[in-house]
Amino acid sequence: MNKLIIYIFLVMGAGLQACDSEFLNLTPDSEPNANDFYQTEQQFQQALNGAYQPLRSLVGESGFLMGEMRSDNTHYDYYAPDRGIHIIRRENIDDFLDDSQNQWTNDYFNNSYVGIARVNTILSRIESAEFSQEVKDLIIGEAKFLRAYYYFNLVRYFGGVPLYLTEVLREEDAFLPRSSVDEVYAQITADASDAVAKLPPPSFPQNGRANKGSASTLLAEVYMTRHDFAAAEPLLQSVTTMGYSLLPNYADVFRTANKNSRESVFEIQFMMGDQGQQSMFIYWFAPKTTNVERITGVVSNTLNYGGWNVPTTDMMQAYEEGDTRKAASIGIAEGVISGDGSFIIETVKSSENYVQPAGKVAKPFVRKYLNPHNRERNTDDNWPVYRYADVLLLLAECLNENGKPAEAADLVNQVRKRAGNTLPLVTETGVEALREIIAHERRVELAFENDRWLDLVRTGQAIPVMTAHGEEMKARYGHIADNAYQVTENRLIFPIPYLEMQLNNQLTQNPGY
Amino acid sequence: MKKASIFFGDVLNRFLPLLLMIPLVAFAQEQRVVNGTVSDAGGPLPGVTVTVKETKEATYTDDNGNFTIDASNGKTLVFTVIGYSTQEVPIGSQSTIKVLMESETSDLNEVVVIGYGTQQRRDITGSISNVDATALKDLPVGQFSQKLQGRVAGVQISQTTGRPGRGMAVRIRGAASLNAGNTPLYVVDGQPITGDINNINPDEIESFSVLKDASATALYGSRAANGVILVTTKSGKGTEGVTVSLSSYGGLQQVPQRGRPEVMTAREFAQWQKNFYEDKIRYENWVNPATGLAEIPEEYANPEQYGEGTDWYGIMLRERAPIQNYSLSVTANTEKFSTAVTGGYFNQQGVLHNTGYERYSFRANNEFRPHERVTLGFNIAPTLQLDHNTEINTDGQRQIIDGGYITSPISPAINPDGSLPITTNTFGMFPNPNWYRVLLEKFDNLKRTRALGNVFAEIRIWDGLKFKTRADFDLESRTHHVFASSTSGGGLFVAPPQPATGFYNTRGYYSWLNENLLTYDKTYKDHTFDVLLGYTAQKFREEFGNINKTDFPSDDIPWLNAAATVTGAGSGTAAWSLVSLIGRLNYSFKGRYLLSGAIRRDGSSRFGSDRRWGSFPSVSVGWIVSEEEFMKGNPTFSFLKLRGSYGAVGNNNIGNYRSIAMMGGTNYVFNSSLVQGLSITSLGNPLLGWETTDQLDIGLELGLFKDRINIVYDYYRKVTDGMLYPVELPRASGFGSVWTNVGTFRFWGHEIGVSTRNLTGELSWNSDLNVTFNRNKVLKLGTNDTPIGGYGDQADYNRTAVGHPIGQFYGYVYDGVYMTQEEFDTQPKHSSSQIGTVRMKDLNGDGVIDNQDRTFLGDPTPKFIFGFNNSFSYKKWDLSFLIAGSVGGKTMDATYENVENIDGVFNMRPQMMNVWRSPENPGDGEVPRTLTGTTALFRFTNSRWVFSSTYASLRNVTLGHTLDVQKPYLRDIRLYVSVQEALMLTKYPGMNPEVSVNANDPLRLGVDQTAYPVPRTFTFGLNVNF
Repeated sequence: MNKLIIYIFLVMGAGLQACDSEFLNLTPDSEPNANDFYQTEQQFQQALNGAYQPLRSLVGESGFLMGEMRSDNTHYDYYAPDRGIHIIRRENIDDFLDDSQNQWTNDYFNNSYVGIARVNTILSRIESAEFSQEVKDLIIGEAKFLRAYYYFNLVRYFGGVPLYLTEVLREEDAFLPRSSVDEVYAQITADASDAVAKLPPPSFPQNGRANKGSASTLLAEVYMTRHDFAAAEPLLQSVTTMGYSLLPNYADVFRTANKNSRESVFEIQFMMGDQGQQSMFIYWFAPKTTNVERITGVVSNTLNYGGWNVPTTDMMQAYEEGDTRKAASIGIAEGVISGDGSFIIETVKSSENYVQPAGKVAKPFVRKYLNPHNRERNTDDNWPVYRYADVLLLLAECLNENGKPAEAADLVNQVRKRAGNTLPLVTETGVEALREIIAHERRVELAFENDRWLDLVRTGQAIPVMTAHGEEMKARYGHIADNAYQVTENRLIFPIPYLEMQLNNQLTQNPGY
Repeated sequence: MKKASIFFGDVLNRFLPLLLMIPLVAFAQEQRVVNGTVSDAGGPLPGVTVTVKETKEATYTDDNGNFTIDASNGKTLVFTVIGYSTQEVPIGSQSTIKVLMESETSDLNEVVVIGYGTQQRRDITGSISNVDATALKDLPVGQFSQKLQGRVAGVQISQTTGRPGRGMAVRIRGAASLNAGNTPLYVVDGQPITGDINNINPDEIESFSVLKDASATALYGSRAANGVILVTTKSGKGTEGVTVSLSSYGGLQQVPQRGRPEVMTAREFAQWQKNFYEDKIRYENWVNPATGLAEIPEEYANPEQYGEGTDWYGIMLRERAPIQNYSLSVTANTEKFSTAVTGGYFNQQGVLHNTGYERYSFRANNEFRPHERVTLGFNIAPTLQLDHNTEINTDGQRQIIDGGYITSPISPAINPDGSLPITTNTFGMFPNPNWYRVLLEKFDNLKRTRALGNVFAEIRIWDGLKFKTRADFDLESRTHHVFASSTSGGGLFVAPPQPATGFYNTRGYYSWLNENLLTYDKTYKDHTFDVLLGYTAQKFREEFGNINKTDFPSDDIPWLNAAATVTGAGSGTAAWSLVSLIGRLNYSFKGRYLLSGAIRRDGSSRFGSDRRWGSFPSVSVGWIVSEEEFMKGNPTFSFLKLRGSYGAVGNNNIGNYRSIAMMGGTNYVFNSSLVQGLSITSLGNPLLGWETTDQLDIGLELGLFKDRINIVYDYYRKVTDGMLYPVELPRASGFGSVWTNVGTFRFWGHEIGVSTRNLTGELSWNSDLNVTFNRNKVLKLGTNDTPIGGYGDQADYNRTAVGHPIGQFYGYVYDGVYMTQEEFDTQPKHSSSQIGTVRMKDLNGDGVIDNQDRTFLGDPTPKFIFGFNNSFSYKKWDLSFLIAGSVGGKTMDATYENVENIDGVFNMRPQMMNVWRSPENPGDGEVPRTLTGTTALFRFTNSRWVFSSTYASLRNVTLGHTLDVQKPYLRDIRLYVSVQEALMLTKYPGMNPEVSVNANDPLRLGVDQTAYPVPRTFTFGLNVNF
């Protein structure tokens, strides 16, 4: 009996041990894991979709904080009760008081790299996959467009950043020093050029993917940022032959019915509903109020979310008489301050020729992204990155810089005619004067599309424009600190995130932070 | 089957030498033969030493208690065995001698439950504390860990929140891990439990064993680093016949006055606001945006019109909340079977309105002995637990209790007509819900059904050799149903009415365990062996699902059927498995030289493919000095044992699949429709392994004056290496972190337990004192030794850094207010500083106060903790009280971030009345001015919020009386009255010095962000035995 028991005991043990590897080798059943992925065309398509997805976080709050509020276009609706640090840090970007602990600029940095890592994984693994080279080239083209776009934003906002170009597989791969600005641009140029070569021209209706038109525009803007207008011009000229056109009515460009229209060169895709693809721009841009339904049509409260990206007086005045873009871009929420100090909207009015009645409070807000929707903070609006009006103005700038002001004025006038048929046409031919006209046209045409700050920096106007703007703002608002708006060369880029500096001792901080 | 043969060989190689070491047969000698049998009250007694006094000839009794020895008439036989009084029997003419041994009453002979077996206390070489549950039976608490509070040296049990059925944080020897938690492994009747064990009715429990050092815990291998608590439930064995007992108590709970939030009354608050707006007008050209005029808002213009206003905290409390418990047990014990069945019901209503916890429990433990060699067991314990509003709504920032601190006292909680306002803010404050209404209306029900069970068969193969196989299961199903009505949803800023929302989450798991154990006990001459070999396998799988909905037609029906729109839904699953080999040898020579070695080899699915298996060995030795000749009969030292152990244990508590690179859904939209996206969302690490703790323990056990005084002392030192932690990566890599074995921590400490029998006469008095010192230090962290935590100016209170103890508070050092222009001009400043604003210390001396000037502000770990229990009995009366306390720790009262927020948006501590208003009217020098743009620094984590958490608490006082009942069917009746949490002595200003909002995160302990109050409970109890 004894031996029998021992035998049973050992057999039981042995039996279990026999299936050890199976017994202990558990992989998750309800989530995919990387070991079984990156093999088929479909899987690479899905990985590519995933590489587009971080674009959205770039036009989340960080996008307008850094692209618009940093500039003279917009300010914030100061809300005295809520002095939470996340609020103050948003305001700091506007006021040039931000530091390396600013969660919003840090988010922008981090999210860009999430996109880059996803591209790198695709590019590192696609060669060994087995499906047609033709399909691979399309995937590579889109992936490289995305990587170029992510790095282009990074280098403009943060300077020379670490260049991650292959998949990070282990801890050691994760630590890189900064590359120089030139090295980053060289990589961007290479990636974008490859994307231009590999991607097909747009076909209409468009689906929202990057194509030769978007890649060419991106590459042209890269060249222009490097002041290589000669290289940019033919690229933009080629875009004008791809079938894009301006929509007849400016306001229609931003209607969700016209997503990915003939005017769209590249836009970041959102979709309202229950699938987690929605946007909520109007809820950030509406004033802080308890009855935002007056604007949105959906019962909600924006005390927690709203009051950002508020058009400045300067911006309001930038529109010429008869420019339809003003009313299309800016609305006025008119109301009163209630007994507890919060703003209650009574009516929403057009910004065109608006006169504030006595006893009323008027708060302007960006209304480009206001479209019908049925749930709070769940909107359908896409975010425009490049549209054909932008291409025309970029090309106009190139032509002007390349000594062809007459051709440049024609392009500006194409944009102006659509903006309002009473607007005087541009006839200026002096390069200097035309440069200013084009810059102004970009400001009003592309207002609140996160272009303003980067345009100011690209054209060397950021320091004078923002210094003057700062003086005006400080005079206007008591809540702006005395040390705000010290706009120096150092402040043209944002700091490398504090945590990044702590974790990676190969990094150096941008001067002044 | 190739693996199988390898395993077979492996086992032989590994264990055969051990088996061969065991001498199998004892031969008797020739000559004049005396036979006999030795027994005790329970039957034949093996292993008794039989010595001929005159010749020193000796032998041992066999498994049937029989012995044979050569001796001649007239000599004397001496029978000795540990745990029994020595007997001397002269040899007369009888050839067969029957001896009845009488057991000594010493605790040292008590059989203690250890890992995978039992052992007599005196033979134990590891550090094990045993608590007999009968000593705790009168404590009116629902969780057994509450009963153990303050009773065991080396175990820190804190009640971090008073939520019914929750909040107990148990740490053995300061255990902490970067991320793998600090909770010990619970083992119920041999079954390692997954998850919490509050389902167990404390009345079912017979004893606890707390395993502290590596030699005691090594058999639990990769799960033992935080210590192990063995819970043994009542079995019926050792009882007589059939007994029925009822134990019940009922009581009332109250929230003590001490520590309630000290905030302004309505009048004070209005006055403060009046001052605030006066200063705004004076310094900031403020105009009331409602009127356009520079005048005080109407609500604050006449503070005298207000009285006390609303006591928001007080109104949420129930004056007296009932608690009740009933347990009915039946035990039966015969030669062929023993059984114990307990049914219980426990109901604790919360001291906050509309909260409470109920538990229905049942346990049946049955053991059958159909054959003298065979024992079969069937145990099952199903429970149902119902939690109402104790899961998510009450504790922490921006939750209901926090609302009780910061809501405007001017706003009513109840309108004069009895209706409840929906919002409660006064001018300039955030829109706030009526937290009282939220408390009454919000609906948060958690239902947990759990069943633990096992079957086993034990076969005695031959003398001392036993084989036991058991199959255990642990399964749970829980549903969590939450509904926020339109009038109770939202929160701070986002006051109701809000669209009603609800969710319904389910989670279920099952875990099975199979254990096969072979044990062999043998006593041969002076050698006693006890060998254990085992093989175990365990698998756990869980499944979960959730659905969130909104668009309810009304607030009447909280069930999701009523709602129109699904806002989220999902389901998933996860599993882990563990295969283990265990082995142990206990050896004792002459009953006084003890040696024990144990090893467990674990294979775990949680670890990387390259590090799947790990071994956890330990060895320990003991020397019972008092058994030596030179100590025998010593009038002072009745017992003296020295012991030491060293070993390694592990921690695998890292969640599942951490070694595998995981992909997450990263969907996008093309063509205005969803496209599936998938991306790597976390890096994998095939080298990921368990973390290892090497532990040394040196112990001394001392009995003085015939064991009137018993002292146990232990010193321990452990080093935890390869801590599992998601090491932060530069975000530029695209990832936030990767799970890695990094970090080295050292823990050390002293534990002292003293038990005394002070009086033993008709009036008896026993005392137990235990004192525990725990220390720790971080030796190494991840890449670049980057500290963990403490980066943010707010809400990031603890920092773990190399060279410091774990989880220190971290922040600015508060240094008062710039009282005068001169002070302001001459002293270091923050970028927001002005005259009258807060001053923090410029620690790095660069003349600027910024983020770099923060430092370590205190250690949440106490210098020592203690428990002191006294029990008296006189005739039929008994009295006991327990004092427990903690000395030298710190708590960060993070509620100060709110109640010292001087932006006028919250109610505040009355001291905030003393704000700096001008050089002529500078306040008390502690409270800065309210100027816009300058107040944030005062809200950054700083030394002002750090308080000593030293306390002494009279945890329990019980007075009992046993009635003599001379009835055939009634054995006895015991009545008692008891006060739980009777008295708290502490300088900590908050309610509860043990509070910790992140009690399960050892790196973020000791932060008070408001917690459910711990009530004082008055109870009356009745125990009846039939």
